[in-house]
Amino acid sequence: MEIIYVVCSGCGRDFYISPEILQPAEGYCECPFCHHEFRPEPEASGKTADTNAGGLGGL
Amino acid sequence: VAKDLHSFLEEYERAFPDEVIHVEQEISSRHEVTALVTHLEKQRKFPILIFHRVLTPAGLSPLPLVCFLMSSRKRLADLLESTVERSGVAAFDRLSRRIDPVVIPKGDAPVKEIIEREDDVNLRAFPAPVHHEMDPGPYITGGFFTAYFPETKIANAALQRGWVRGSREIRVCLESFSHNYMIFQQHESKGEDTRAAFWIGHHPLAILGCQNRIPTSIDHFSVGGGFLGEPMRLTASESLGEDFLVPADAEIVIEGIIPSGRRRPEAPFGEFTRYYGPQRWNPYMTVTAVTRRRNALWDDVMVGHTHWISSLVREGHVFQKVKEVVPTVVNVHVPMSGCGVRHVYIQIRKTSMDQGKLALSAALNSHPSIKHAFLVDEDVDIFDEKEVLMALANRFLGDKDLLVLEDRPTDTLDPMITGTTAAKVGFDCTKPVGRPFPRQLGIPEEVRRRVRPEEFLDLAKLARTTTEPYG
Repeated sequence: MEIIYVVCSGCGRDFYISPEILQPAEGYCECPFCHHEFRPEPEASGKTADTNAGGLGGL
Repeated sequence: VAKDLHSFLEEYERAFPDEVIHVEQEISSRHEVTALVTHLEKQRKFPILIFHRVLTPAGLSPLPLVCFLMSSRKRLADLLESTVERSGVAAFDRLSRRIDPVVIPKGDAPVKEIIEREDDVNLRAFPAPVHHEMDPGPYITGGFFTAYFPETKIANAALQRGWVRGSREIRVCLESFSHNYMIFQQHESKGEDTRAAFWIGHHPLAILGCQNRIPTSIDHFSVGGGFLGEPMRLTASESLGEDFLVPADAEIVIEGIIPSGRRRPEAPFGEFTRYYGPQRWNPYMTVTAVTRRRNALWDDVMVGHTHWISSLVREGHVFQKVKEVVPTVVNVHVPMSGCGVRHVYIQIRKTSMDQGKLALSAALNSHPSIKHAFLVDEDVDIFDEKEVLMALANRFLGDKDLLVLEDRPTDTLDPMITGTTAAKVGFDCTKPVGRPFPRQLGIPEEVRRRVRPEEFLDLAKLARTTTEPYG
């Protein structure tokens, strides 16, 4: 299960997404806690999972 | 009277009044139902729970919520007219009994007692729980997502999760290997939207039957009928055309359109692995109509907790696959310690050394999600995990009895993998054949039967002594 941890730019809580979610140009994620929709930038992403050390930069 | 959830509950509660618990206190759909269920699960108690006053963000739900319907192995074994130990094989045997569905007029269908269309629909009023902390909202977990193959018009139904995202929007998880995704792709490749429906709540045997993965040439409702022992009754949809048939005896049917070429974020969601799956880019349904019974019950499957919906048939399937290579297989168990899919315990009467790896290989290859198989002798109780691990301790040598199959396709929810493959491992924990093997400890059976604790001990005092969870 390949995952990327991201931090919500709205509420600041972290959750994780599958890498493919941001592959389409219009791709975005939705915070499961506050439902803020955003496209995380690599430098804004939170910790990366051990299983995916490349994080968003690897997309 | 057709078999449905209501007829089952009435009959079951009459026979086993202590096995149905009505919860009249208000309870929140957000985490509270899961918290209660978790307490019971810890105590290994799986009564059917009917919550009559479920608080949702839209207020008190007009519908009661049913949980744990499929969580008691004993309950399902009784329905399959089998025993707890043999119910897997019994469930698998029913796969070959097919009874074609029948179509009845809409006016005779209980699920049409209340009909709401388009803007009258408010999915948020239903008591779908927010199961776990990182789940983004209420999820349909006991709903059969149903669609029809465009060429053959054959029905496909599968338990697929749906996030109730808005009053008329459900984000749907269609795994790429699922037949429903295949149907969606066939429509999408032509730029067509897909007609689909979730139906929720039915007799447990209809649920056990319809959830099976079967060839695309077979109608799921005919398998549901085979399990039920009578035809499933279908009726025409309200908004998807007369040719789109839905179960007339379901509790609720949610009809809608999956737009072609559109995706939205779906999940994270607490899955069967007991971990959250990541947020993904998935299709969504725009709801066109909801039909239901006046006294409809919302059936929820507690995903990530004990239930036997897919594990039972899988036991029978593994049994069949092992039997093809080792006819002396005795029984198979797919335990909850492997999330109801990852582990399989196989009991055989071993007559030659080569049977070990033959059986393990057959079991491991029988399903992509099975990861570890443990083979034991007939004297080991495969429903007692301590006995299985004891066999691993005493009847297994890592350099001789281990089978590793590398890079096998698996499901992508395994927290350990980053691609689509995983290693599968088999443990042959059977005694060697053809050489003397030590005897296990024991006492004469006659003595064991004769020495009764109540004749030697104060049972009331014994009940007050500490129960040790260890050892």
